[in-house]
Amino acid sequence: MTVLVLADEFDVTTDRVVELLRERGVPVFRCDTGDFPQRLTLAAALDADRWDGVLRDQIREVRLSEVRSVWYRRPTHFRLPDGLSRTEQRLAAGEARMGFGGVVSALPVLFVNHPARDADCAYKPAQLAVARECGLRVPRTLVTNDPGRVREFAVSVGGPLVTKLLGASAFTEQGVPKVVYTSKLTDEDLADLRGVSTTAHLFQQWIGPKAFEARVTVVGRVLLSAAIYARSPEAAVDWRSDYDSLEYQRVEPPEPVREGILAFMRRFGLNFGGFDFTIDQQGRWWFLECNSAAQFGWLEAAAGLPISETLADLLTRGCP
Amino acid sequence: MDPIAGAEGRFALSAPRGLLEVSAEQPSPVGVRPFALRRARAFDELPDQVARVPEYRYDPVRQVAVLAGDRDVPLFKHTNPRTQETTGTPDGRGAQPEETRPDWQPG
Repeated sequence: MTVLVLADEFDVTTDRVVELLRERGVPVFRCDTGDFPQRLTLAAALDADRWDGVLRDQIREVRLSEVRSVWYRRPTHFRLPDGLSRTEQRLAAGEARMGFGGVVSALPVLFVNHPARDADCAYKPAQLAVARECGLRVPRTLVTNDPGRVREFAVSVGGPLVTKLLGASAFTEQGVPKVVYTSKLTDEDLADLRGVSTTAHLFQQWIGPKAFEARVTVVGRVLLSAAIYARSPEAAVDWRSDYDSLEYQRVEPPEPVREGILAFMRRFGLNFGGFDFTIDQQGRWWFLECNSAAQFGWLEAAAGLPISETLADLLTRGCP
Repeated sequence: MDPIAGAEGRFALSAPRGLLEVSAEQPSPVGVRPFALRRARAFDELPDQVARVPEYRYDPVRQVAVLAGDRDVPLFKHTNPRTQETTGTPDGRGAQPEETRPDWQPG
């Protein structure tokens, strides 16, 4: 039985898990959707109760019925043959997504994670609602395009607010790559909220002063947690903004938090997730967000967490 | 739970190597530009945050990327942005937000 890995060919984190599986003698078929249709061939037929057939690259193949688990880790856009018109490209890409993606998505095996579950979990407002339903402590949050409501919210919270993007935080303009980190609102910001009405914005109660932050990486039902201590003012607001100032230490979440995290995982149908928490001076854990495709290679090295090994265990086992 | 993602998002694909789609467009005027972008920072202001995609080849036997001399690619100190430029969208349409989530984004 084979572990099917769908990932970009340049991905160090994937490499490490693939090597672990290989060392254990577990068959691995790694490919990228970017290889389809030019270097990757799919022939699948609907048998009695499932899709079966063969996925083949230039040197190996796997029968779909022999796949025990799928690691869906950010595979890339389909790369289509040259010579197609833009209309043909769009149509062919759509067919590839529905055909290749449809067959893979329908495999009745363990997914880490199923792409549809990843997609649902990408919505922060849905995450916050589910987190609260699961008993996790969630900062007060406002999503709005109404500047007046932001000012009312600030008064209601009675303390600092932060704002963060609801989706991807990196983009380019003028040819320059840019990033938006979580930032604290100043009095000047509240006095000048132009641009809020342009689109939906997320404003949230600032949890501080912080004792520390935590990244809880969940693999199946195993929680691997690191406390993150930010040693610079920028990192104290968003630790992604200054990695060099960070220190890490293993930590165990309180049992109610642990239960809440696992309930969240069940609710979204996830087998992998990276949860971010802020822990205040009273020791209360505040849920911020979950990235169902979170990076982890840097963290297992820094905090000594066996995330790759645990993931290899899960993919080998084929069940949570 | 009820699904909320659209059909395309439910089999989301990324840009190769986590590279950002390059746009040459100018920022819009204050008042139109989304408030959330007010504190956007260029990566060249954050030199310690940037990683270059090294020269590599994919070893189809080991199924991992290797550097010249078949050396293993070292684990980055931390996950970080990729600055090599990419062009176009190979599957024939513009990238969707969930598809541009770069590899380095730990959040």
